[in-house]
Amino acid sequence: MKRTDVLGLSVPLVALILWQAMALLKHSPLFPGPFEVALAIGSHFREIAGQLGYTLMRAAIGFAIAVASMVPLGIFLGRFHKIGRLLEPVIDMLATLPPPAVVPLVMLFTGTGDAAKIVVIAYAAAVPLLMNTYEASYSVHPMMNRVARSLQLGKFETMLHVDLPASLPMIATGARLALASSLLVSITSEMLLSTNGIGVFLQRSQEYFSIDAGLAGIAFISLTGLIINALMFKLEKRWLYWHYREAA
Amino acid sequence: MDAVLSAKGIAKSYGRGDSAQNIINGFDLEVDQGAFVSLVGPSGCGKTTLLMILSGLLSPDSGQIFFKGKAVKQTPHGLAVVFQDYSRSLLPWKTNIENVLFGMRRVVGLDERQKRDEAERILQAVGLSGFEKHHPWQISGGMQQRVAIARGLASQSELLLLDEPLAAVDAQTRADMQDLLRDLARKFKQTCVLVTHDVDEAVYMADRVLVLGPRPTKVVRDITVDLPKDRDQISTRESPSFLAARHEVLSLIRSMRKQPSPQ
Amino acid sequence: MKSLLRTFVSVAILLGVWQLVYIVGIVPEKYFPSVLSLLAAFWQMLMSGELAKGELMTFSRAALGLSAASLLGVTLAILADLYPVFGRGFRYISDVLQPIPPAAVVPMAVFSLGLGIKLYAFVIILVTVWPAYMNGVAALSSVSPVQLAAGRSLGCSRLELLRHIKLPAAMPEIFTGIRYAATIALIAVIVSEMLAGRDGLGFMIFKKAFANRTPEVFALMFVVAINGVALNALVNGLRWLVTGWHIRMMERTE
Repeated sequence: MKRTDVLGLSVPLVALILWQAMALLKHSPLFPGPFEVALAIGSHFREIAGQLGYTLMRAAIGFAIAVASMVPLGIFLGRFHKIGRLLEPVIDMLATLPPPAVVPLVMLFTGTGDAAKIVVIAYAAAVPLLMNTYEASYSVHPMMNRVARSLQLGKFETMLHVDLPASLPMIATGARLALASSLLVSITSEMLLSTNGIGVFLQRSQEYFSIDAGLAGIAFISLTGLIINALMFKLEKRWLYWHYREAA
Repeated sequence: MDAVLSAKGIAKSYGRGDSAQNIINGFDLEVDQGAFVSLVGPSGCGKTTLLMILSGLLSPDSGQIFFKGKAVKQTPHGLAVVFQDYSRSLLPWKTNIENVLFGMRRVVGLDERQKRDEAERILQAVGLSGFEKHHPWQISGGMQQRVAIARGLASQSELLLLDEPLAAVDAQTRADMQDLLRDLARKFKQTCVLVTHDVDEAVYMADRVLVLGPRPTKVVRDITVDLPKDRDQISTRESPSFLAARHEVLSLIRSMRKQPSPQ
Repeated sequence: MKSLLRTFVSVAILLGVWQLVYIVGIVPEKYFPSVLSLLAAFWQMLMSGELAKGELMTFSRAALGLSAASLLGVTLAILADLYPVFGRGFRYISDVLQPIPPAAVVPMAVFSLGLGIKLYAFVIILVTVWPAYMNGVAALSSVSPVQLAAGRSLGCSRLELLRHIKLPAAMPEIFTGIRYAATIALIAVIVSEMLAGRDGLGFMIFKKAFANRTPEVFALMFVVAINGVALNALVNGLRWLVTGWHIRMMERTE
């Protein structure tokens, strides 16, 4: 059992008190303090959770599409490096495009609604996944290639049994970035094109000047981010224990 | 007796034009069934390149390799390679027994259950009973190399190509592993080709020591080691024929050594 | 020179594939304009001067925001190193703030900060500060004990240790963080411009999309991507200046 870090906890506590003090001084509904936000969490709990559900659903579908397509592609491009090198500059180009810049495409393709959002989310998640998988796959240690060839493994067997597992640690890093990207794009696309989701909730909170509700929404997003991160950490520890133990 | 492995007129160079480096030129080899042959040479003479070519992992510029009479284009079934870098040649996400089973992917006629039994038997033979479910990174370097050897044997090998397999383990473990390797070679009826830079090891392990010359390398002397099949770390190393062979190899290698020069 | 050629080739390949998709026509032209109309849209925006104006706004915001966020991040990391209590406590705050996307912050901050520079500064710094801070904390705490002992044996004080040993040793990792932060900074700027802006590339993309000007939207996306490259080059240049020794050392050992 870890001892509670009283001294350490005092830092966020001081921050909260300062925030509350500032809010009291400003005395404006447009600058709520932590107390007001806590109250707002209580009263808007159901709505926020419901809207966040839509957001996460689209983010998850987009992310899943990206994983299912980009991991195999990345492994393939790494193994057949000649093709990979050909496409490398294109991947690099796409990587420099910030994910939200593709969001307005949703507006152009607006007729398709959910589908367009998911496509844009999948695109945003695809780039870090593809980059990391490709990079990991082609930098699998030459010794492992030799081993695979000395055991007379075919290309497909090598990709499945050597390249993929050896790349998993870097794929996990890519997946973290991709998850963050999908959530980001999911929210941004909702804000530009109101239908439903937490982005819409935030937008509406702004329109009704209920900043406390908006901050409550943000608190939920932050909490979701924390949970996703903790979950990823757990999964990585379970599936990639060999990587971390070996490195230690 | 037929040669299990033979090489004729092997040549290999890296690079082109002025910067081309001639690594191997005019290398010939014949290894008989059941023989234990050591290849020893001065450092940097291209031993590892040679072994890569012999195993079919690298194609030579000219010349041909034959394994049991068939030309080698890629690593053939029945030939297993044990690499020096055991920490990289074993797959860290697999347990020891899974690594051994991985070597049996091309083995036909056994079901999963039989393969597992066979893998356990081989792991026992290399002295790793009880470590089946450990991962390679949980055991010592010498033990890891035993897993790598077990993986080779499990692939139903007849010929083991050993690339400095003991160069990275400590001296005590090394002596034990040398005896283990000789035992295994006999028990599993393996023909062995050992590449090493350690003259004592080359002589102690082998029936024949082939001394390689400096780059571009080839066999410069073929020495038959006149030692009994049963060997012992203490008495064998003190016997006159061991010392004589050691003397011959060592003086030959020393005579080939170049003075170091700044590049 | 080589990287310039690579960029050129990459753009050429991308445009080639683009034109191919257009010619094959699997996507309706309304959504997928030809390369030619892309170039025309680009040229027209360039000539009217709106492109240069937007580019200037976006790039300067991203570069200034990134610099401020990096300086703040490193300062906080140094504080966390000097005062471990602060470091432990600030961890709670960073854990909570880090997952918040810039898009969520903008509408809430608009009322307190207005639509001007204060809003941009707040949003960019809030989301961009973390990589420099996190990498800084990690790197400062993992400086080799031998190097520290060497410093101490030469009579260095705590601050001198920080100035002469810890900070230089941590710089390569801090720059790795800043490189990642550059990507985030551009994201934050684009998002802020889209949601609350009156100018900049993000606003332009948004406006053109509303007006159904597909070629302009795509052309602007290219321009934004080039900004990513430029920002990266800026950080890399700085990295050479500050940690050139490390880069040369790594090249030697490879």
